[in-house]
Amino acid sequence: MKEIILTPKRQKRELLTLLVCLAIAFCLNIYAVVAYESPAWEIITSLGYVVVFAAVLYALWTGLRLIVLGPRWLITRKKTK
Amino acid sequence: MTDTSIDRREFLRELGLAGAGVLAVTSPWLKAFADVQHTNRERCRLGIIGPGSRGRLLMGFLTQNPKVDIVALADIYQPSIDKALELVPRAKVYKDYRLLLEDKGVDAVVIATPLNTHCQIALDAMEAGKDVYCEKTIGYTMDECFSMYAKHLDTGRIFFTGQQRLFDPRYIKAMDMVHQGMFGKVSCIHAFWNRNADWRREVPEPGLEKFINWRLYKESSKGLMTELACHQLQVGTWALGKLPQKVMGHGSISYWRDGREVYDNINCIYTFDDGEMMTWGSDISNKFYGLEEQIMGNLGTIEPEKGKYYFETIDPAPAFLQLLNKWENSVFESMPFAGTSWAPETARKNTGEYLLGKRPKEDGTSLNLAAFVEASITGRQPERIAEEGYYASLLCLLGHEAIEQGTMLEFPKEYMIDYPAYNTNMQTQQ
Repeated sequence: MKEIILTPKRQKRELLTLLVCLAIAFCLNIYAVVAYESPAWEIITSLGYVVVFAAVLYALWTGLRLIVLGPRWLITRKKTK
Repeated sequence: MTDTSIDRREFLRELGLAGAGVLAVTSPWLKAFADVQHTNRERCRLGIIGPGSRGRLLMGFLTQNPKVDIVALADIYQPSIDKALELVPRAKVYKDYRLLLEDKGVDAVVIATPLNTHCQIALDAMEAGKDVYCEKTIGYTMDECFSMYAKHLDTGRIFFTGQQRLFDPRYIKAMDMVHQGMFGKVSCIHAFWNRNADWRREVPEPGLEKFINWRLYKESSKGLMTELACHQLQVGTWALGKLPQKVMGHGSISYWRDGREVYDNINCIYTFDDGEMMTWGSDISNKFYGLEEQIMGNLGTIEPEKGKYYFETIDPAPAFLQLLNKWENSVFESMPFAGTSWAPETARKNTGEYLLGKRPKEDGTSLNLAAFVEASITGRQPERIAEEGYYASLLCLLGHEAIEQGTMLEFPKEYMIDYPAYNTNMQTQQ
């Protein structure tokens, strides 16, 4: 079985991507609290939803990358062989 | 105090009320426990008249009370006596309740006999100088109820009725909230008590049918109205703080056509002076909705039996979910094939709040009995106890009368008693 190696650079990039997703979700939560005139404590109490939304966002972004970059990666892999 | 005696502090804590001051206004009969610490060395010598199934249930509570000695039993049915003696083996046994009443060693009596016998026994007991706890409905007719209440006033004997909801922490808390106006104007109360049972007991020999199944026959009972309605109609008047002015109703034997004479399916409407209505219904062929009193105000609903309340206006879902919901709707609304899918609804489900932090251990029966014992020991009749029982019984009997006559009946003025808590609206009508 072939080992998949995640380089430190890749790990850093994925973590950064996840952080960006979290930041987007957090900002959306703040926007929603302001837009719907909800109590400010929802910024904290809705953190669970924020995390779930960030995970969904990350999964979507990963899926998008697989669709766009996956074929290119397969092509370049064949060429190198 | 022992573990089995009344811990008043715990009772108050269970209610979530600050102290006795609040209760003195909303539920003044709880003052029966005011001297509970000072009567620890006192004993109440009780006689049980009618230790049948209900009587023995009450005995079960009474035998747990260290201030009670059940010293005598009276019943004409030996199997009931035998079972009761298992609880109190040293009690004297009488076949005739009048002999029990002559017993100087008895301070007070609990009457748990068939409905049509309550009145004479209670009158004789008070006349004999005994305090009386009478199961509800207190009398077979309104006249009987009136004479029982009058005898209580004449003799000055303690008179309690089996209205245990007056001592149920859920109901006390509920009524406190209703009277504070937390649910706005209460315009409607739906009370119901449904079961899926025939109410019939096994009879060892046919000759005992009417004796054992007395609840099923008109000569000894008025059926669901007198056996069940009494509790819930009292809750309605307690919540609204007044008596209804009119009642109409219908009853039928629609399922248990087994020779019974009393209805198995009943609905009554009681109307009040300001347009409020209270319905009471019972069907004993379906138990799905069980029993409840739904007290409905313009700001909320309270269901004391369930121990919950619900406000009309509830908080919306968190803003973040509302935003996601809006996006989801805008995406799927544009697609004719798709409806809403994963997105949460913007409104929260109204699951209500609990009246008390925990479900009470019992329904108030033992506290009602304990209050009776305290009252008998101190010789002080708690406020409103007899009156609440009297009017609850009257409302049951009035509802039954309306069903029987097939007409709308007005509350009979001749049975009004001096009870300021309920009399105001009736006086304005006169």
